[in-house]
Amino acid sequence: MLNKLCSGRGIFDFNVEGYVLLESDIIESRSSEINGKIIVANIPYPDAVISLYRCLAYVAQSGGITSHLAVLGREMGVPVVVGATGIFSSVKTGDYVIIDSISGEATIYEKN
Amino acid sequence: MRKIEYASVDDVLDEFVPMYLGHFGSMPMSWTTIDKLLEFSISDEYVDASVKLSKYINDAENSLLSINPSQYLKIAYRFQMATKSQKSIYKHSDEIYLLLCNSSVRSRALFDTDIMNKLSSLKFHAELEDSEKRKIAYLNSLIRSYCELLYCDEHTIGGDVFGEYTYDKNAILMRKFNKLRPMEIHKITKDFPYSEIHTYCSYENNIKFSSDIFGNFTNEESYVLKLNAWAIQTIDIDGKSSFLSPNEVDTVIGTLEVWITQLTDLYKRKDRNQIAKIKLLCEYYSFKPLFDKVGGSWRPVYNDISTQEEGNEQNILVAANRKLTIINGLEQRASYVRELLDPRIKW
Repeated sequence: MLNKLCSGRGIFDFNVEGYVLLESDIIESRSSEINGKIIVANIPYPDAVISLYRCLAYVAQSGGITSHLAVLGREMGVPVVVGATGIFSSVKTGDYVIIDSISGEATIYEKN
Repeated sequence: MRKIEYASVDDVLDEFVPMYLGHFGSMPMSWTTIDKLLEFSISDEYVDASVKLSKYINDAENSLLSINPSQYLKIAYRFQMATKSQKSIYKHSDEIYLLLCNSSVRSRALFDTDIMNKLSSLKFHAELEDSEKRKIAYLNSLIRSYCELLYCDEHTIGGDVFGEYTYDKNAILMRKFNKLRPMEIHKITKDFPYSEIHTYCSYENNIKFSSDIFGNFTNEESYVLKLNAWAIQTIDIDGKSSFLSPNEVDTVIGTLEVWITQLTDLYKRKDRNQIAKIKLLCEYYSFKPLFDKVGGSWRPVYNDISTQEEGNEQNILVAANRKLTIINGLEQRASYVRELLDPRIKW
């Protein structure tokens, strides 16, 4: 069953699903724990670039379509959602989510 | 296709407004923890330096300064924000604003004139695996992020993106990161091994790059795997230039990962006032090439940063009460931002 959590601005059209890893729970940006995860951050620091290279997708509560994270997502070809208001308080590490991004509109669902 | 010249302030605003809206989305904040509204805090000192810069660059003989094209636009933006909220009323502030913006266009055009000879002398690495294409994209992103940290969000002080250039039936983007060791801001960068890193990326010519005026790409499809060749030049601390082999790319990536992690940790240990102080220092660092030429100090005067910050917050609150109401709807936001960015409108 899908439960809509929030929406934001998607960089590229994509549909991904996977386990959440909160940015605040990342211990080491280069570790293998990041591989295949959907990282969720409030306001990403510039070191987000390191985990962005390794993750499946990156979702940030803040930012617009030319914010730092969005630019990096485009540069590296990694699915990114920005301006996902409320996402940081809606999920925790280990939750399973689906992200559907079409024509810049991204919707994030929780899969129960 | 970039502009040859901004004919008027309105011409600039047509590009600034969508960029501003795109950058901040619905939440005007950044990792620096300094709300974008603090941009009102840039002082009269900044206005004076901007005026001095505009006079200098208006003299044709003095047109070349080591300021990245996008950074001229940032200075123009901050200049008008400062004149808007501070007491300084410059009679000709719109002319100064336009001069600064056109310096961006002019310095970019000068760069474009020189690049073709440079491209013909480069030896590109081609026949790339997808993993190598991703690695080059990662390297570009790492250097940009490193600059973002060095200059507290103002990465265009440290580097800029040029192009695209059509060369040998491909689309070339050149990313020139030329201020990677600002020891006046971060003493520790004396140990960073590169003064400059220039990356030349050749993409299939069926890509149409789109970007805002600060060189932030807005393409709706990924171009990472369209990379078909690359050349990367590093300049070390002694000024020695060399081109990277594929194996050496990993070394540079490793170095940048370590530095980015260290600098991020450094910021995370600082409080809001300490970060504000670094940010202000970075803003004024933009003027260093000017003051290196004309003499005098580029550094801002800090009497008491915490008091200054509080004072500025008061200014912001006053401005906020007058203008910064909650704005719903893109059209209303666009109209508000246009007024915000227009140097002819005083608050």
